[in-house]
Amino acid sequence: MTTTLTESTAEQRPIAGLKQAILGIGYLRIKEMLSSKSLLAVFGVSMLLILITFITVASGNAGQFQIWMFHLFALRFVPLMCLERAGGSLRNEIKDYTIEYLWTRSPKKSHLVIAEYISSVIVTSFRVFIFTTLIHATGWYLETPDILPMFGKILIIELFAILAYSALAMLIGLLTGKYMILGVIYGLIVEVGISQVPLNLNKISVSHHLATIMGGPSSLAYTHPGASPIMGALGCIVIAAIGLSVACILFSNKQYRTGNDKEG
Amino acid sequence: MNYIVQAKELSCFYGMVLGLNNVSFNIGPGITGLVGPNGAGKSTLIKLMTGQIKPSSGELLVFGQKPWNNPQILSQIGYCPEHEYVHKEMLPLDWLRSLAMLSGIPFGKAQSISREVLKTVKLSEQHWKKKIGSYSKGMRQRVKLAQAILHEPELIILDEPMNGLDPMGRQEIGNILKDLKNSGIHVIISSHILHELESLCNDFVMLNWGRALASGRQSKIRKEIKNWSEQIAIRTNQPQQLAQHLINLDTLKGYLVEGEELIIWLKQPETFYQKWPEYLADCDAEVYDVQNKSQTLTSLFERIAQ
Repeated sequence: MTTTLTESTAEQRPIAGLKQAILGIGYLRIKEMLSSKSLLAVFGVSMLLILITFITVASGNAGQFQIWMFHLFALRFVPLMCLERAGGSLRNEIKDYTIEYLWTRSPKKSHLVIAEYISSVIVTSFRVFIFTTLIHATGWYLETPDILPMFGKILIIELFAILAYSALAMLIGLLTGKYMILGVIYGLIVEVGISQVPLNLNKISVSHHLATIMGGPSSLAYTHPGASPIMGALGCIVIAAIGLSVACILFSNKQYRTGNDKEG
Repeated sequence: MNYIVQAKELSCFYGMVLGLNNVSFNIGPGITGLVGPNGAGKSTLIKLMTGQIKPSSGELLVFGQKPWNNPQILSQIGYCPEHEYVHKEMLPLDWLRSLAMLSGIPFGKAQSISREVLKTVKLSEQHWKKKIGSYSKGMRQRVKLAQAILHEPELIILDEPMNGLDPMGRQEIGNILKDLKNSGIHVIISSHILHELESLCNDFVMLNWGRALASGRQSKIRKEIKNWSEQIAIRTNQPQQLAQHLINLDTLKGYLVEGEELIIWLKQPETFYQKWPEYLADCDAEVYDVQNKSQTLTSLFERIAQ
């Protein structure tokens, strides 16, 4: 008699869940982050940022330091770091064929996305913390006033920036292999607000919410001076949740072909 | 019989490109070979079995369930891809540990299991402190095989695992697979080099141009072929005389003489093998070597592909 191995006859095994996915992917990414190649890159960027701080900030000028730290580093450099890190996390695995070792295991694909997101947030936060500390140390050396309160505030803003931008980057990375180009276009239109965006789309941008958390006078044209920082933080969290949810749905249902950008 | 994999009218297309076209077969326990030339559809079938892609039409069941987005099935499968790509910057133990945790093995146990599987695939300890990126092809194949057996799967699927290995490496991988089979693990292995699989597999699925030509045991496949005649090559000092002798005994469908070699096509192989010593005793020819040419998987595949 011919039978099939059905659910009842095949051994029922424990299935790895979200916790196992986070542990597995987290361990992989942290080990990669601690590789000599990666640490060398962090060292190189650190030196570059210190140099830029020396060039752009005059001794004792808090205004110049804030423009460099918040408007350039937190609002421009950190999003690019998120785009490179989170956008490339799963996409580069797909391009390099190594995704086959990950998605043929038992965690759900949505769990892989969440695990990669958390790993990206941790890795990017670690790097951003190093860079921010070094830039502030340089600012302290240049005798910038009120450097310590600004350090704490910037770290909080950067954390929300990383949470929101990493989720958006993850989504963009799963949409296309050319995620850096699409991410920069998105950034120029929505975040920077180049040209008149229809329906004032940039009012819901992450930059807008970060500026709201920052508070005080800002050169960003689309901030609401009276808005609460808590609303800004909530806005970032909502954007992160939406971006991550859509990324999970996309990765679970789309058929990706490894090694190239053609997808069915 | 319990089937591990069942395909029914299975098709898979990549846009306009054909991957598999309306194939039906069953794969039972043990070691099964997926054979066929490059582009036959072996890798597509493997991607379908490991839940990496969805069928365009038809049905594919692994352990009675569809593998796409099915964690229960994926937890029972170990997969070793064809390509050489790995996380190059990682040390093998770190890489295996992360993949073990991803398969649900606790952090503490992941380290000891990773060590065990590296020993199982016979990667010597002196290489454990080197990055995987610095490994030779054979060493990478071993690490790739190690990650496939980490979580003690019931089914291991290997896509061209012998590619680029030297003969000793092939034999060692073959021995590891036999050991796995003996420990009750089912193995599906693909190769375009048919003789590699001959000694390893009990069953075969033969693919060509996205179609399943035949499946099952070699002997069963042979029986299903109409007008199949066994072909034997005999090296002798008197090929013409021996051929004439066998013709007179009405045992041959035909023959061909090439130098010292006589190639014969048998009418009734079983009778021929029984009476072969008698035939030889009645003839003056000295026979140096006898080879059954049609018993090879290559000849069977060529015959079916015709």
